[in-house]
Amino acid sequence: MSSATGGKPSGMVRAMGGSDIDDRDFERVEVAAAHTLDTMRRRRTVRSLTSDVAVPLRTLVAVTSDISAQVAGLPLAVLFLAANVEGLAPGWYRLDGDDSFVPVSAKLEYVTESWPNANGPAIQLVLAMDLRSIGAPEYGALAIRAGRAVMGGWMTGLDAGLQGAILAENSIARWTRLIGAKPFELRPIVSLSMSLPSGREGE
Amino acid sequence: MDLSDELAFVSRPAEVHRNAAVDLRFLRDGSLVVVGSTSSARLTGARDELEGLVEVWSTLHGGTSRSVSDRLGMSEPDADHALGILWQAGALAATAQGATPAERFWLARDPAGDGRRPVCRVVTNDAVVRDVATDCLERSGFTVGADNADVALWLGGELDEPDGGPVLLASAHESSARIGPVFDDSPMSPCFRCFRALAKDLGASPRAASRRSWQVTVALAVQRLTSLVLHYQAGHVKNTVTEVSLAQGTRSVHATVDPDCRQCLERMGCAGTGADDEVVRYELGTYELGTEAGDAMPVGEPMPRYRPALGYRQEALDSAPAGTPLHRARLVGRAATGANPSEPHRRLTPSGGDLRSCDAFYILPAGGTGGSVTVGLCPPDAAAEVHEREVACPEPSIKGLLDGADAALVLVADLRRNARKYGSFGIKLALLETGCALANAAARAAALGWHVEAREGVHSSVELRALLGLTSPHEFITCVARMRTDRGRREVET
Repeated sequence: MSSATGGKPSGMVRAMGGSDIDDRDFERVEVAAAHTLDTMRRRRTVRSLTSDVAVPLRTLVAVTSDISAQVAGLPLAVLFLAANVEGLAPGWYRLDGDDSFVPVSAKLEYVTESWPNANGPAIQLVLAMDLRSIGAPEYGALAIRAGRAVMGGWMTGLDAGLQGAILAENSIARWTRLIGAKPFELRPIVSLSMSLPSGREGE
Repeated sequence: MDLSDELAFVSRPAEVHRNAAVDLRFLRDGSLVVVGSTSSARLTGARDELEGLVEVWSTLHGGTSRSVSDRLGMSEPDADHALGILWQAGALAATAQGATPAERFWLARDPAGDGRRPVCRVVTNDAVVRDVATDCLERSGFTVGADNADVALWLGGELDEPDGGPVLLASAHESSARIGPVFDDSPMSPCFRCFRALAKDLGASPRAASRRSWQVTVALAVQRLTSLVLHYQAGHVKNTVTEVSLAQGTRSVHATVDPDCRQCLERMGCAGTGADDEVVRYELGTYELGTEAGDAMPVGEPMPRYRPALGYRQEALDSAPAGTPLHRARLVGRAATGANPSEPHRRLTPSGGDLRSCDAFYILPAGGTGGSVTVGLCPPDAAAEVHEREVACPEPSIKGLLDGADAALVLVADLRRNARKYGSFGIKLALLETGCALANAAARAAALGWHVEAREGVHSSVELRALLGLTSPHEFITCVARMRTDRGRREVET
């Protein structure tokens, strides 16, 4: 689905806060071929999501692959809650370097507090900043990249029939409890929640 | 430009939003001020946000921090927890700044463990404010009294405001004194003469009493805690205050003053306090946001999306022939900001609170022989038109940006739009929205036969800011991108 290649952006560190325009700082933004104006026009924030309908595993893989490619090599961890994905046990997973899914926790809780437990989107994908390896120069650029990645993932999900919402995340304590991370290691910055329509969708 | 600089703007009083749960104000001198709102509905979020910000702040300054929640053993959100959070955060900040043990005493909950109840003096001319503050302070472990006071709080009040309550106007203790404006109601601050007398009375050093001293004080925590107590205990009690309407430029304010104090009246602009008064100059400079008169735009009113004074002219989107670089650049810019021509009410990009913090500019050669460039602005709320101007002979760095490219795309986040509602959380929203805008721009550009090479992150080029006409310190260039023809990628959409 995605033609994104990602790769570690060598100019990322230089990019933050510079005043000179250096050719080395620019990196190509890869775009999935299916992302057209029509895809963009179909985007709509839907927060009333349920996990009634199972999401095919290949759809989840398409979304995670797209996002993974955009953040490869960066201190941005990709984790997701699979509440109802075909062939995947419910729980939290971490996307490993080779795009494999590593179980993190069997808890069926969403980071965002909009949904009660076990009654939210089929997938909640979270990008978390690894604070152990970043400082001020990278913060802004990484946040922008996170936004770009989830937007690309959302468009890929739209092409697969999913609907959902991007939400900025700040729930440190809840997040820490959910995945068992140390408090100041991985900081969630943005989430992408998606489900297949089940007749209950709404704005 | 680093994160501290990005965050520094929230230290400006006009940027403080009433609903911000917790704000950590990173000041340019490296200090950190904690301001907390303890609205119970958002307390959990406040706790999380505070922990997150302390964590980032600590990371940036090479320090270490621990979970505030863990330290306090918190489980249920209540006022004590909020106060504890704020005090602990203040202690973290003070420790990192080399505060003395005596200062830290006021920043954390009795770290010395001696069980002494600090004596707090409340200065206010309003009985309701006094009652509420006294109740709150006593519940928080203070003894309220005038004799041998350790700390003094000067409180004003606007109790008819939905989020109103006692407002801290000034505070002083033995090692620190600060005078407003702390929040956006700075005209209520006491006059400098009264404040200095109060500070001296409390034994503050002459230096601390003679200028604004940006230090974390326990008073900042108490300020919002009293607001909470007021909200839930005093309910809809109306304050009988003296209201004075006055105009500061184009901004009207309602202020609470002591009608018996001529200095207070003068300081609010009713009479000349004297431009040579250092404190007045400092506070006005902080409050007025420079020459842009940002205060002239009350919360809730639309922000100006373009600047005719800078020579931008409105152009219909289709005034350039389809397929030309100018037309493509307009389409990409419009896609970046989310303007949706077919359904204007449905934006192409998400935006926190629908505040639309991101503008898109495009730059491309104007086509003449003079080397001039066309600069276009795509506001996020205008689907049918763009705003353009031509600039002759741009700086070499701008020419370098366009070297080998068909056009450049510059994304600009106006942090003020978000901060008015979300406080410091708006920074994250603006950055994320920039990323979403870039993803959309790249997708649209690809459909038009261009590929995008981007440089993500805050960019502080003076030349580029001048070219775009950015004058506000709240507008940050968050992404610069080049757009080049991508031959053979796909059939070009027009």
